[in-house]
Amino acid sequence: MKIKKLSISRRILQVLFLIVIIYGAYIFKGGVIDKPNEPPAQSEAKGLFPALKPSKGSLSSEQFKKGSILWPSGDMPVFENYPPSLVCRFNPKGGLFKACIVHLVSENLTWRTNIRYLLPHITLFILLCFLFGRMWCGWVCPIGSVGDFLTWLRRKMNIPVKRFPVLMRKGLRTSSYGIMTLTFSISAFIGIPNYARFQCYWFLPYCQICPARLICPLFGFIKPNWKDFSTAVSAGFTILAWILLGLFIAAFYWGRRVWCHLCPIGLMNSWFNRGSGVELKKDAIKCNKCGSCADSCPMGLTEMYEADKNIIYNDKHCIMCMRCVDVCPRDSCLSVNFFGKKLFESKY
Amino acid sequence: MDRDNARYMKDEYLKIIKTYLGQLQTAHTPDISPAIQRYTQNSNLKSLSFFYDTLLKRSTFLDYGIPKKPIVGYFCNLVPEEVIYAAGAVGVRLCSSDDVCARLGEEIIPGDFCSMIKSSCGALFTRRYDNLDLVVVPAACDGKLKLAEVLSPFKEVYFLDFPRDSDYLKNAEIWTQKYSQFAEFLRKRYNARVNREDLLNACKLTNKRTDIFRKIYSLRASHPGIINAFDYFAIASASFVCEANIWSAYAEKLYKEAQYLAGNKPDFKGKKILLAGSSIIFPNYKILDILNELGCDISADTTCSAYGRMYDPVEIDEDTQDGILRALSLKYIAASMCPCFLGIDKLIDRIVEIFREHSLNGIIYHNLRLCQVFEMQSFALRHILKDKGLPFLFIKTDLSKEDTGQIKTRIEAFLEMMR
Ligand code: SF4
Ligand code: SF4
Ligand code: SF4
Repeated sequence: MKIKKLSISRRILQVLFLIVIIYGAYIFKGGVIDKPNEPPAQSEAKGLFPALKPSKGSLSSEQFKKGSILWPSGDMPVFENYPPSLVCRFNPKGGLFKACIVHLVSENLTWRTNIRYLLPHITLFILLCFLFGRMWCGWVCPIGSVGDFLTWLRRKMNIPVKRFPVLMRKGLRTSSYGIMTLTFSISAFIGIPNYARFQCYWFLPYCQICPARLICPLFGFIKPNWKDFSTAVSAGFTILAWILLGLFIAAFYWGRRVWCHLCPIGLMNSWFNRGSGVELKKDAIKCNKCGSCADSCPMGLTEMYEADKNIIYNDKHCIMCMRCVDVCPRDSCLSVNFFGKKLFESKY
Repeated sequence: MDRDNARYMKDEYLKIIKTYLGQLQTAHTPDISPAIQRYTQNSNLKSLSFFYDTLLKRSTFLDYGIPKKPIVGYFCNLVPEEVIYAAGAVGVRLCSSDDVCARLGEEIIPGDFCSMIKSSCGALFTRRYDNLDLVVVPAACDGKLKLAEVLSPFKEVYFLDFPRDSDYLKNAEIWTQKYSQFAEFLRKRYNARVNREDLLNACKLTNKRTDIFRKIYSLRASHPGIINAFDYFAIASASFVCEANIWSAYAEKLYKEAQYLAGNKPDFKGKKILLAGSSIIFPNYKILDILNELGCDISADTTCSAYGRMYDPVEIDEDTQDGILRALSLKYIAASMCPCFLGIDKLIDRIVEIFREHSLNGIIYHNLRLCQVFEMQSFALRHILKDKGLPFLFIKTDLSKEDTGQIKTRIEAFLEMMR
């Protein structure tokens, strides 16, 4: 049987990125630094990637206290950057990067940060998306990697995959818009000075329910704050987080990357997927309509199979895992291109 | 058929077989040794003898030695051989194109029916298949469907049914289900596990075979004449009755030998033809004979006895038991170019691709007479291929030798036209 080169390299890279992103802080900082997240002085907000900070007076540091839902978040990351995949602020010891894009947007909506300071971060995000598209999802995202590990486990245990119907996939994708809109509008709302009193409980609403919040600290052998029933709001968030974590595990365990239909970070990447540097091509005459590409697609995309004409494919929902290219049994039927240059093609 | 009818029919069959076998010289009909002698004369490769030996040996008796494994026969290219292997049995493809058998089959099946069905039915009545344990008949065409019923008093038959739209999106679920049922049946019958590991191992065997077949296929296409068409189809036919691993081992040897010869082979002068359409199975070499006489080589084919049977691999993504069965259904059904399925585009694409890739000279579409499905799609094929500027010839014939002269004239005219 053929060696699936792309899948193997993807696995290796996923593990490497997982290690680097999660444990990078240990390596690059030369050990553990226990530095509490003191709000940096306004003057520090300079340089190419300024450390973003709460604007004066708008935010109490209540919610970062031990025992609150957004704890632990104490350590500073190595780089103050926001790459386009789920790089979590709850990484042990601050992690290599700051946080994910949803975090960036929602926290700064609340802080009402000057766009000037945000611009470098957003430019970097768009540039990285433009270069690699959603490869960040398929190849880098630690949460995707954890999920792929669960999928691997399922296969080893010989449990057949559940293929969710198209309607459900569509529903999940639509919900991801809902989650994102809700997150951002809540964040913007509590940024209004008159409503600043809500900030203690409603700050970073998506982070409070994101499964990564519960999973990432585990890598550093830190117990995540898995329950906080101090107030009605945090109790609600706790329960929602449990539900979402359950969904997350179930989704990865029975299906493949079902979570990624729902993920707002993936959603934000997906806007830049079309037209990105990495693209898939299909040479239609070589296709024998075996359906292997559609069958193996973790996002349940079938356009590759359906296309009767030569196409350039980078659909919004395609996470660029390139599994389809890897399984296609026809020589040079599907190929991976980087700015028009063929990098890899399907091979028997 | 209910039990009384079946018993009655079996007696009838036995009577026919008795009278018929009496007319033939050997007990093991049909005798293919003259044909083998004739075609081995042309071949220059030593390793070929294994394939001809296999054909000869297994056409007299299907004997798979000790330890005795059950032998499961199947028709067509739609039955997952891997599942049979995984059940610890040996798969034998029963499709036959022997004229003698066809005449025996005609005693039971009406004369104006596809000669392949007649021949396959007749072949089953010869002594060759005495130790066959089970016959698996897929729902390919109507002929196969009814053949399952005709054979059922005589042999244990498993009918493998599935929808005949080869669209993956619509039917993959059902195919997988049908294949699982088949696996379950074999599991019970042979007390086998047929689990993930067994299936994976079986897939490895057939993928190995695919591997070597592809090598031979491309070697032939790039060096026409290095393995002539007779030998090529004999090799393919030998795979019907030979275990995949043994076949691959010998084919590997053959490939090495041919590759060695390919280095100092003079350029081929004649026309390179792509043979599409009905299968070419060993003794039915009429078309090949004619083309050989006219100095052409069949450099490539899309028939289900050679290319269609062994070119496509199993591509396993989900390596769970269900996933493997699903992958098998994709290989056998979704990718199938059999005219019994909807979806002629695949065939057109394949023909055009192969034609251009190996810069061939013409396409001959071989249609076994009375096979409606092949014939019905020939009209579309002819016009579409003509539109793309590929020379196309449609030939309708059967297993008998009567129309040889006539076909020869037509092919000659076709070759003349290509010049
Ligand atoms: S969509 Fe999936 S892979 Fe992409 S960021 Fe979200 S969790 Fe990670
Ligand atoms: S279309 Fe291909 S690259 Fe995109 S998600 Fe599906 S399998 Fe992966
Ligand atoms: S895997 Fe390749 S050959 Fe099969 S349907 Fe997809 S593109 Fe076509």
